[in-house]
Formats: sequence, C-alpha cells, structure tokens
Amino acid sequence: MIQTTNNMDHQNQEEVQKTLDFIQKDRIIPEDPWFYSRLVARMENETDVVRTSSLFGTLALQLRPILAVMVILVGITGGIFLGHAISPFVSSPGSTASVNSHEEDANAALYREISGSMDEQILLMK
Amino acid sequence: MTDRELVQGIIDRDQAAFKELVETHQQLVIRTCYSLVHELEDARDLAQEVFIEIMKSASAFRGTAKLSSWIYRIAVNKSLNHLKRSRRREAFTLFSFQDRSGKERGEEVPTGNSSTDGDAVMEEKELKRALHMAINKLPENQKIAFTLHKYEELSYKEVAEVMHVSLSSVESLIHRAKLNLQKILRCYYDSNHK
Repeated sequence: MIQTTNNMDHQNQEEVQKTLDFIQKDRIIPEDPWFYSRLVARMENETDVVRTSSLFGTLALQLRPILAVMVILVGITGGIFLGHAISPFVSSPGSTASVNSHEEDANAALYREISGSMDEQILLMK
Repeated sequence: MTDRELVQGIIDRDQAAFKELVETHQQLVIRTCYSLVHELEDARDLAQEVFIEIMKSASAFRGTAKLSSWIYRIAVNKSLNHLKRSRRREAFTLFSFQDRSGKERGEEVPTGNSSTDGDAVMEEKELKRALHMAINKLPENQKIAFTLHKYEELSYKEVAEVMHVSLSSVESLIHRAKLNLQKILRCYYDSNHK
C-alpha cells in the first residue's frame, strides 16, 4: 500500500516536471510570413474608418448652426399656425368690433325710442 | 538602426522604420501575448494591436529604458486587458466551452497517421493543456514574471525593468510562481489518477 502511494507520488512528480519542461516546446511560435502585410492592411482599414467618422464629425459641426436656425423657424411657424388654429375660441379684435357695433345699434334704437317718447311727452305738455 | 533612430523614424511616419521594428520584434511580441493568453490566433491579433499602439504612442517613449522593455510592457498590458475582456465575456456565455475546441480557434489539429504519432500528439496536447491551466491559475504578477522569464528567457533584471519592480521582488515572484505551479500540477495529476 505504502509502496503504491510512493510509486504514484513519483509518477506524479515526473509528470509535473515533464509539464514544466514542456515550456521549452510551447515557447516555439511558428513564423507568420503575412504578419506585416496583415498589420498594414488593418492599419489602413482603421485609418479609413477614422477618416469617415471624422468627415461625419466635421459635417455635423458645420450643420449645427443651420439646424439651430431651422429649429427656431419651425418653432415660430408652428406658433403662428397654432395661434390661428385656436383663434375661434378667443375673442379677436375683429370680433370685439362686431360686438361693439351690435351694441351701438341696440343703443341707437333705444335712444330713438326714448327720444320718440320724449317728443310725445313734450307735445302732450303743449 | 539604433532604438532611438527607430522610434524617431516611427514618429516621422517612416514606413521603412516601422517595417524594421515589426520584423525585429514580431516574434517577441507574439510569444509574449501567447504566453499569457495561450491562443495563437488571439496572440497574433493582440500583437497587431501592440504595433498599432507603438505607432500611435511612439512619441511617449522617453528612451530611458530599452525599447524592447517598453514593447514588452505594452504587450503584457494588452494581453491582460484581453484576458479580462474574455473572462467578462465568458461570464455571460452559458456554453463557453464550445468556443474552446481547437478547430474553431485555429489551433493545429493533430493529423498523425500511425498510432505512435497520435499518442505523442495526444500527450503533447495534454501537457499543453495542463501547463496553460496551471499558469492561468497563478496570481497576475507571478504569471507575468514567470512567463517573461521562462517564455522570453529574460533575466531577472530585465523582468524587473519591464514590470517596474525591484530585483528582489522579481526573485520572490518567480520563486513563488514555481512553488505554486508545482502545487497546482500535483493536485491536477493526483485528481486525474484517482
């Protein structure tokens, strides 16, 4: 039993050593003849992406004031349209005038009636 | 070309200088990345990122240390970031072990004809698996010091320069890494033989 355990320990120790020695084999990396070409291709690709994104960035910067002016114009136009849309519910200067003219008409009729009756009273007094 | 001339050439966007830098340091960078990530294709992709980083930040090289030390440091940082990213990705992937098959990851698939060749290839694969598993279990600093010393065959002094630590720290890190590796592998083979 003890001998079996000792044999196993010895075997394990050998395997541990073998595994650690394997580093000498593992550190050998096969050469990649296309490494530089692939690297240059990748760099060109990344430069294109950066260039495209910077082009969009410049455009966005230049378009920003135009966009701001457009937003203001849309706001003003929208305000005007909204003002017109809700005008029937609010008394406008025009509608006030018509109400006033109706009132004037009514007052004139009243005056006429009163003045008529006044004339009658004067005639009666006479 | 000296290190300084090479770096100046890269700053000046001299293609010949960049080509020379890549050709001189290509294997060093791929091997450093491979010793930490253990996947050849990932190591090659990371090596490309390392050279792109060198190109971008060549002006940051002060020339106080060796150029190779600076390149090693970039390669180590890129590899550690890659490992962190993959660990995060694996945490979200339920069946991540499916990605680990050699065929999908571009590893060499054994094509031995005789059974003896097949056995040898299988044994190598097993040794590689056990070694990578053990190295992966080491704490980060021990892993960096050990791989730079064993895979890159850097001296303790050079490892200290790359890692920005003292010589005695490197000695201690590598000593502890060796002890830990022995312990991890012994446990691994013990459980395999039970």
